[in-house]
Amino acid sequence: MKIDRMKEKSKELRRAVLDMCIKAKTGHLTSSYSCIEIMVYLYYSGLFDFKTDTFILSKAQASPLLYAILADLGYFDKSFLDGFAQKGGMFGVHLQNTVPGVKITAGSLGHGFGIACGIALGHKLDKELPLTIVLMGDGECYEGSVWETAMFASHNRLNNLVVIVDRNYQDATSFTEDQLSLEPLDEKWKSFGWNVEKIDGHNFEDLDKSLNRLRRRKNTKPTVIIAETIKGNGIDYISCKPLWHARAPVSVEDINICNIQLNEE
Amino acid sequence: MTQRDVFFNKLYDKAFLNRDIVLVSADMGAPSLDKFRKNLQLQYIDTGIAEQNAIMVASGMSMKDKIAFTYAISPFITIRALEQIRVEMGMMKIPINVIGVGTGYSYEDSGPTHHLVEDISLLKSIPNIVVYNITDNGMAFNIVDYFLNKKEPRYIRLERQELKQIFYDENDDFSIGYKVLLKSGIGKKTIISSGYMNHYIYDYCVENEIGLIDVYKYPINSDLFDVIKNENIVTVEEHIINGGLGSSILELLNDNNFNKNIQRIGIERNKAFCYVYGGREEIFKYQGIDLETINQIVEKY
Repeated sequence: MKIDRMKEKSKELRRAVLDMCIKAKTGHLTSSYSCIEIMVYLYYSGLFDFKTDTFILSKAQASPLLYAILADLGYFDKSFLDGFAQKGGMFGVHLQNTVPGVKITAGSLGHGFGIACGIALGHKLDKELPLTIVLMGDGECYEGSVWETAMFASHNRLNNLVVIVDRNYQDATSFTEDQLSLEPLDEKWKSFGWNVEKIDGHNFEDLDKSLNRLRRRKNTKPTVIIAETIKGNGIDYISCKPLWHARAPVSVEDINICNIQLNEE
Repeated sequence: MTQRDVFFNKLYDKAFLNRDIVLVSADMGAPSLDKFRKNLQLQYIDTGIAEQNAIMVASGMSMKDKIAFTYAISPFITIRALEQIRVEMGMMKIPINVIGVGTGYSYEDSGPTHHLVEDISLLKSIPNIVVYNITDNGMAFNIVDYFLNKKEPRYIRLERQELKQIFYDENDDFSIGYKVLLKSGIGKKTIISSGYMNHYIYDYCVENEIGLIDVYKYPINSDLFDVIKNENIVTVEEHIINGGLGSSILELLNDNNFNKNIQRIGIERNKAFCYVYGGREEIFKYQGIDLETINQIVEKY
């Protein structure tokens, strides 16, 4: 898919995720919005085939986005999206591996990264070429186990493992640099033996430049792409506002504002 | 030879022929593992002292069709990584084999961080996880085939110290989960026990015509009810009295609408973390699970 078309697709998916969250009156809307372009690139650019490559959504709170993408790609019927996080629904606010196309059950942070590392190691032992790609939140990087895995992956030369960090500078309650500094995040990953790239996570040209060459594997190191993003990007009313974490617009006023601002985008 | 060496020697022989068998160690060695590390380099993975990562990496490898075993000191591979066990093995049902060495008070003088007397209670409460408390070297050797043939998320408890007595061999069916080691004499009591404690009380039971039943698997096989319903039961465990073997037997009786008192011998919850040195026997005396105390309780009951 060309970049113009991917931009359109991102818009469509912002709409779909907003509709799901409004209907369910819950869901991590802003966490999904910060990684829409990243996920669209992964699933629609045509560079990856997730029947052989593996994608793991370690920041499982962006589940409504993954579910919307999987439905769009025909993993299951789109009508299931209407039941998101409601009585009788097939899936809820976090991730479950019982849904077609979803690799792991998650919600607790750090797990997806460690599991992905095991999958990548498995491919390496079998001398197989597929990539394992993990999307993590920046708040997820507070988990100690993340650094156990980071150390392990570089030592074992897992250059078939790619981490994308959705760097939206917010966690559940606050801004990361106010709460507990993650910076210098790139230096941290570098010192753990990773190739580090920093990109604009909402810019498809940036994503293309970075993700397009992943299969070339310039050295034995695993790669982390720190994608600078805006939490809630696409609707100003909810973006960069800690109070909108894990929340859907519920009042008529909030719903109207979100709808208007999304259409204006 | 210790259970651990018997188990790993057998696993080495199997892994030598099947390169899908991998061992993920969290900085744990054993004489039997030296050859594994040396000769099967690609199948021997070390995460360093990082038990959470060990469970996650093993889980990922299992998703890539590897038969994964992880190995560390019991309290760290279980409780340190309990949430990884809960999500990966419990919720996702990833069939990895978590091996903990040094349960109960077998790391005697190392203190309470290295003792482990709560794990059965914790692990058996997590859905989908099967707990095996390995009894002897016969079981350690023969159960490897059973484990390789049956996929399930499991926790394997291995005793650290060398135990001479052999109760199991290649004819045992390890799906059963219990075994009558000694039949009780007429009018005599029956002790239900597990792991190291079977060895500790075996001679005492023989001398006093006390029956002895080994339970090595949780959840407990409900067929055990028919075996024990007519016995006068004492349970003996090197584990806190809450949620372990004795509790499970009470539940089994109750679930069968069988109103019967049993005598439970184990570790008092608030005494379990102890700073007692000079060997396992000293700790047993402090905890009231030494032979003399067991005898007094059994006599009185």
